[in-house]
Amino acid sequence: MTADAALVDRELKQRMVESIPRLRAFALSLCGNSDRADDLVQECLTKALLNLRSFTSGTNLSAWLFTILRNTYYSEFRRHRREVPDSDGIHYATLVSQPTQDDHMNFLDFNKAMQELPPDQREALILVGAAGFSYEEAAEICNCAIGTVKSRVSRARSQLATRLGV
Amino acid sequence: MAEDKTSGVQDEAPRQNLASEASTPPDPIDANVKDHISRHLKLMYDTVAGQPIPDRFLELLNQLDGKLDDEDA
Repeated sequence: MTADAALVDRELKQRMVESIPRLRAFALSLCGNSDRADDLVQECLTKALLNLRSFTSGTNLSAWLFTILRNTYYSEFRRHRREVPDSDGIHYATLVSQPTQDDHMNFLDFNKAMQELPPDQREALILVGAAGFSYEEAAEICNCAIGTVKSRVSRARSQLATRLGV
Repeated sequence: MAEDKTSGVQDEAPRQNLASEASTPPDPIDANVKDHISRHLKLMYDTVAGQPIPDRFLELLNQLDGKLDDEDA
């Protein structure tokens, strides 16, 4: 490989490393178990590195990685089925540093309500509302129309509002 | 009570997604509620995204890096 190509690869890999924390957060929101989430991230990174040449430079690396992670989850991981949906709430809750009792309760309630959302709505809300993707990018990642993402996000918010009684 | 004979155990993945997408859009929600949800959502996500990167991933990248370089050579 040429020196230029090596440089591009190195830069891409650096940016992949920087994406890892966000990939872990997304993976956990998909599969609901932190060990499996990390396995999913590992699989995603392996695939991404082996297919680095298929990444079009200048396009959104984050969106590319999230797409790989999501596809990996739906093609390989989902058949193991989501585990009891307590794992997320408890896991997240233990990570929050010294919340007040009140915040802690709110947080558990929120996580529980998130778990009860249909997976497609939860995923759309995470991508747009937490991971910072545009509707267009989220549509690309979820392989659906922009209007579908908008509708899912809006339904997710509305359901959360109802369940949390806010 | 217990009149329900559960005719056919429900699969845990109901087709509710399609149904909910086909129905009318939900009422717009209050800006405060939206804000409340946003804050929780970010807290939940950032709690994980703020964790240090486990060594296993850095090791993996280095390992694969070596392999790719070998192939390119």
